[in-house]
Amino acid sequence: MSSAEHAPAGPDKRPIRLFRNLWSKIAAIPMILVSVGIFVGGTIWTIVYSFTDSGLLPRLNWVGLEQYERLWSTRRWLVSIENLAVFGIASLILTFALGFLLAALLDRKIRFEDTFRTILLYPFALSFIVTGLVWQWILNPEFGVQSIVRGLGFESFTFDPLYDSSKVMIGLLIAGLWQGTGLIMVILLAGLRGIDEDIWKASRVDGIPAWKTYVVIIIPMLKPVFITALVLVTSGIVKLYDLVVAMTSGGPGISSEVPAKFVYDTLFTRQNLGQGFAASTMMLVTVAIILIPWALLQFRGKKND
Amino acid sequence: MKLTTKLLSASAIVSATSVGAVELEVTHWWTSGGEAAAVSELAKAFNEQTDHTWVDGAIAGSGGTARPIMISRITGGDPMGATQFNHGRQAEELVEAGLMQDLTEVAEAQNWREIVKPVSLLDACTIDGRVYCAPLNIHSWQWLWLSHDAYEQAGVDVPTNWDEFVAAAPALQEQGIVPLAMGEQAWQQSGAFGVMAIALAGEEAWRAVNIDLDAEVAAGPAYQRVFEAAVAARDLAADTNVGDWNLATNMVITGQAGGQIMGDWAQGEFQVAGQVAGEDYTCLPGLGETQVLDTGGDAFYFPKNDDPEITAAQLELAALLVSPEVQVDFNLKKGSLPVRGDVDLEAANDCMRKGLDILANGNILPSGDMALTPDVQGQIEDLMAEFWSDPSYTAEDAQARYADIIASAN
Amino acid sequence: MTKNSVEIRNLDLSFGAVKVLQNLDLDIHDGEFLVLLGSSGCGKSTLLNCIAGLLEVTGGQIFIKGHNVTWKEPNERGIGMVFQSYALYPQMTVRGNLSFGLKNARMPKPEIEERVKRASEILQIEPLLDRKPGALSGGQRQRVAIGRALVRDVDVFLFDEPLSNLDAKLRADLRVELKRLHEQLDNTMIYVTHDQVEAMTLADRIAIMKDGKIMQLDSPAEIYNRPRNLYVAGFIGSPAMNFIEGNIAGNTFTSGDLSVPVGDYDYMSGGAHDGAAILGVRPEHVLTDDMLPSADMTAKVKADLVEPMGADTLVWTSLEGHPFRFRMDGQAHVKSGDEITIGFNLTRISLFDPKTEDRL
Repeated sequence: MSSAEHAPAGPDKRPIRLFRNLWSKIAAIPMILVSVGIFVGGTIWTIVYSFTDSGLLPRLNWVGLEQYERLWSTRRWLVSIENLAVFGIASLILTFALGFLLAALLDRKIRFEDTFRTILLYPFALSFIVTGLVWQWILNPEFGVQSIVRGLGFESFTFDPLYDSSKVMIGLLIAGLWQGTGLIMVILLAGLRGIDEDIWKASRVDGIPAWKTYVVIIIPMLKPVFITALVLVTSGIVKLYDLVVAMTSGGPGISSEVPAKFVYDTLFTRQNLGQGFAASTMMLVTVAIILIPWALLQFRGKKND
Repeated sequence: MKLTTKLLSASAIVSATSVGAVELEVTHWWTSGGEAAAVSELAKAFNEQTDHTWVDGAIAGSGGTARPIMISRITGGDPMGATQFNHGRQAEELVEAGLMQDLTEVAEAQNWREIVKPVSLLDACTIDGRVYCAPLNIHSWQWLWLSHDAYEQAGVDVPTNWDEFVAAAPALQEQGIVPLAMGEQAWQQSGAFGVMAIALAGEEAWRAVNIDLDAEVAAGPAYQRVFEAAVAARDLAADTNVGDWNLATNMVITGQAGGQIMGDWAQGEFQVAGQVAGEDYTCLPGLGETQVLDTGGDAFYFPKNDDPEITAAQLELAALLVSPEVQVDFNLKKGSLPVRGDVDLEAANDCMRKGLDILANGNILPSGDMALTPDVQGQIEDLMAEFWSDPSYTAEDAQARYADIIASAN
Repeated sequence: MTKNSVEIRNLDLSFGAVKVLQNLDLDIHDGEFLVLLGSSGCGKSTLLNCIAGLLEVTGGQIFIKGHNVTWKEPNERGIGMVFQSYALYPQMTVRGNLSFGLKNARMPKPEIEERVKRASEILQIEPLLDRKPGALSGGQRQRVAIGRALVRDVDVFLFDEPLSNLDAKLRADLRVELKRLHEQLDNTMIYVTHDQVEAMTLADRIAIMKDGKIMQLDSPAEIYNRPRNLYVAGFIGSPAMNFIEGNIAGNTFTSGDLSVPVGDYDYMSGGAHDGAAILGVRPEHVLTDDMLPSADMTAKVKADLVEPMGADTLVWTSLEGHPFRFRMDGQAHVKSGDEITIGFNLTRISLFDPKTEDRL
């Protein structure tokens, strides 16, 4: 910085804008190279090769939209997309509902708040693999919940979501919520703590019931916090892979397959790069379809405010 | 520990005496007890009979985990000295891309075409007339393992073929015994289907579908019988609640299940449990219907290397793997069959002998790994996973989808 | 009973073992502007929150307009409240902020509109009604916050340091507006502040608090002229009152060479006092130069430090070993080191008992 400002050009010449904060720009170059080269370059490369019949190795043998046609007629892919949608919507709603409920409860200055917060946040410190294995045992009908309840005398009690293709996503959802809700709770709790206490007093003087204060006043005030949490949760959902691998390996049958697992299996186990790239391109498109309107909304919203 | 010591002393001797000695890294996914013991035989032979040193590069996890790692090292320019693949089409593209060492010289010098039995194993290593891999052992899928204990409980004779097996099922079910143990993993379900296809559709139809990729046969009456039998098998296996194959095998060992369709590696489980073939359990090759075995198995590939000394060492290892002593030592430990018919496995048990006899009679087929690309196998696995887990999936629907996959296969 | 708008009886409040308010009694007259004044931690905001019903009391009773509201919800007490941080609902327009509580109480729409209109007229915030709080200045926000209390049409307004977040100029302006508002509405207002200027200018009566107790409750003039104890004497006035420790014997206060005849001093208890005492003189009550002839007694001091402040000049010195400050005319020519003759009138001094710290 100083070198640019005290350049011999003299004070009467306007410093060239490009050279302002020169060192910070130089420092940012590796980051820019990495994100442009690896992220953007990799994305373009993936999209390009999704139009080829690449197998184990990439080769530029164009097949047009064939990979996409095959993809969208593959049952496993369709099931994966449907599962992701179901899991995504349910887990978004429930994570936020539960996370906010817990955060609001903790915010009511209960006793042992630290203890509760630690307990609830603890699962987040575990990887999805560990979470998956833990819940695989809990939900196992031979050893887990079902056998415990049956042991208490309820012989006809049945709870084996991981072995029933119509309920398997519920099993995954339970584990996902157990793992992820604590984080959302902590983020929202931090947001709630940032709310001016006078707002609460004002609403009490106005005679607004607590639930209504949350819904009408506090939650709108927490919008930035919610957006941060939303980005975290959504990216976790799209990436959903390890939990499925650890809990069900996509089973029973293909009933708990997810797109990320489809991509991995196709690329590496099935040695079909073209198909795998087509699937990952579709994932990118899906994310873009969700993100772009949201980004536009955000951007426009900023201008209006 | 012992192995390490041996390796260390061997390498010390080698490096002291020889100038052209190299350290050859060998990657594989043999990590279980019996497998590791078998690998150590290879290492011992290599270290003792050549000037070179075996550097063990075991990759934990299954082949599905290990293969992407191996492939990325080869394509990424960091090739190992030698690596395991299932012989077949797993490494086909790597060979086509010119990344694999040509072993034709060694094969011709040792006359592999004469000694390798079945010769299809060598064919699986051959692309455009050149040999690119050294076959090591044979594994076959076509076995039905039956529990004597289970049938005794049900008061029926141990079946001798598939039809008897199906007929005896109700008696087992009355005793609360699961007739067919089937691990809920796609590769097991797909493998079992393959076994039923060979046994019930017959060799000719199987070849038409898996080798000539004839979708009409796949949609035809021979395969219709297979899919109907698969529906029946699905009902028989409905009460299995296990995932891993060895847990399913354990159901057979403990008499909780009547039988299991599984490859010859299941034998190791029976041996570990102290059971004796013919007394505690029976094995029916080809489901007792068609006495034919597929001949999948393991082979070693040698990625191309710039260093001529390493190339020389690779060729030496390739020659060594097919040699009679190594074949005997390795396969006895591994529980698999040797790739040459001119060696004697005295220690082989009842089931292994049955397999050897079938091999000797030449009743063999290439394995699915050889015939179909991983991509096509993957699609079939998806279909089978869905089919086996969903009781409402009809035989007709499954057959139609199967025919579609075969039609689009290459 | 009806003369008092708010009555507080034996109020106790403790957080765990910490007693914040102790056995506190306070009557606030109808239409009175009462200021609760004290340094931070004295319990003044706590007391206000108790009146508002935002804190549960540990013991005692609170009456508003003769009703016992001790256990009533804040919105049932007939109070409106204005907060230091304005506490406006940021997602709502000004109109929404004013009407939200009324809507929630299911008040008919025309009446809500009527009240919002009236309040915004009084506070001159009509042009702002459709803006959101984010687009308002601090002064405008506080006016909206006052409006939110106003539309409730209540008897008692509570202000919790409402001007503390504003800059000095705005604070002065709004202070005047508040005073005008009080005269216009004639409601009871209870106002918490730590700023004695606000207290002196706004209050009908000031309650000076310390450690959860009211030290003195009187009109601003009384508090200024006849502080009830050492704490109040030191707290009110800037710079603070000068204190000189000494002795009274036979109607004369002596401290070292200084002797002050206190025979005419207006003792609170009526009778004269003998023994240890503290003499208190406000800096602005010290006479110099041409005012000296009217002084009851004089002394000579040496100026240590001179702070010219324009309107007047503050001189720092010491008297019989006690730090001593006094004000001179702004045009006085004094430099440090100068010797100055000072004097004071006995009618404007205060005497305190050093043991009880109470006014004699």
